Amino acid sequence: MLANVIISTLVVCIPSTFLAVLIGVPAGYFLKVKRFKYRKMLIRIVYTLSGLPPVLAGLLVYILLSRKGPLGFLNILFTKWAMVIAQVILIVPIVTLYTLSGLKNIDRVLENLDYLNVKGRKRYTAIMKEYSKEIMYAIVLGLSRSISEVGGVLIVGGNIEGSTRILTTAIIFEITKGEFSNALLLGAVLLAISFTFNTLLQILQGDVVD
Amino acid sequence: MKKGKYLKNLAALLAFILVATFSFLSFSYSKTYKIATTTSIYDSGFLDFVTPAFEKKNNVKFNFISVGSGQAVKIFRNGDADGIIIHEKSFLDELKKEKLINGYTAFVSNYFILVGPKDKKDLFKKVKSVQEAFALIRKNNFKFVSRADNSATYIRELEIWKLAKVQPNFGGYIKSGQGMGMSLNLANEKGAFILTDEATFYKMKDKLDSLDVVYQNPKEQVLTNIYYFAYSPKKAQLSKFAAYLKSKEFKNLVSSFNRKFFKKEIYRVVK
Repeated sequence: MLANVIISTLVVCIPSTFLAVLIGVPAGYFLKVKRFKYRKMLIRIVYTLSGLPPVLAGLLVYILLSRKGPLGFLNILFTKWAMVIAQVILIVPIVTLYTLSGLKNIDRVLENLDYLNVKGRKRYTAIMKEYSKEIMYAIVLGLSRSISEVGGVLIVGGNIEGSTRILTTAIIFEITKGEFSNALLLGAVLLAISFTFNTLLQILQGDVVD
Repeated sequence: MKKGKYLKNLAALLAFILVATFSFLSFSYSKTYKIATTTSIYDSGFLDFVTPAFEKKNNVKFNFISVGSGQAVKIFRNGDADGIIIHEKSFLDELKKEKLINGYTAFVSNYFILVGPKDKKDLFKKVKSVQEAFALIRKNNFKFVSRADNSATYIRELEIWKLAKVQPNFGGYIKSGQGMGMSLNLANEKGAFILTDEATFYKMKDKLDSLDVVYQNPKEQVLTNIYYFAYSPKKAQLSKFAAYLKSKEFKNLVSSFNRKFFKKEIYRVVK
């Protein structure tokens, strides 16, 4: 039972973080480097959305995916897909915002690359190498947010045992039943997973703290 | 460059995890039915106890979405669930009128009881009906926790206030807006009275140290709590489950559930 909940947690949180980083990091880079109309407005929106309440994101995704909603034909409400969508919506602004503020001195880096005449794919690889630590922070931030989120995934996932029940929603469920010791145990597991993730990422990347 | 190698490794690892998890995501049972259910009968563990036998025999899987009756109806009405289990008949009559269900099956019942602080139990000794008990709570301005959440229990509570000719807006009236279990915890902490179904209360009783039953009466119509199952006509296969809920096998499971968790007859099969 517990194993199932843990697997479901990973199956929801890892892809949502991955997708969020895939969208958020380029979006942050774009907002930082490119100059275009409404740029400041867009950045303000990203700031606002980074504080989007999970229950609101959950509600929006619910309405979107309900069979009576615009994407109802997909028939994915109360599945892990719906949970991933809700989490991506929550995490993308956070990752974007972090990337935006993490790309310090990017102008000088770009200037150097121009000087060395590095173009195309190589240019982006070089930038990613230069900011690999920042990207790692973004991943850690996304993972932490997705693994601790509960309001949104509860609404769109439905907390179905063996399917959409993840650690956080299982904790809520145990509290509902008054089983506080079970809830606490699940909380400890959640922390342990979070710790493992961060350790793994640090081993892959080298220490996050200097 | 060392850094580059790490990045490559990381990318490969992430790609692998992504593929692995998404293939897992796509995996699903051959026949899965979503059933929106009221919290009380699910949280007590009852549904998880009686359905596996049916699931195994018919090679189907039920996914229960446990929410308040009001929300369960909404989920079902939107077509996001194939079946529904609730204990508020008026909701089902509405669904029937809208032709969203053909009918419904009453399958199990228990009773609503009034619980409250142990030390106030004696005050209710001479009470002859639940509305009288409610009136007494109002008269003394005792604390009373109401779920106030469009659930079947809340609807029943309002019915009783009506019978007692009392407006539930006195000082001690606390609106929790939460499910049965959380509301019971709240009543326990606050030393308040609360209307609850027997099953949830007895399942949690060892954690509700300050609460005890202050009034119960199986003969009062307003305290009878019947659970119904209904399904969308588009999912005709679910008629099998409706039939199962009337079977001898189901009846036996109900008695073993009672024996295992309550040591007395809490859930009663509806004939």
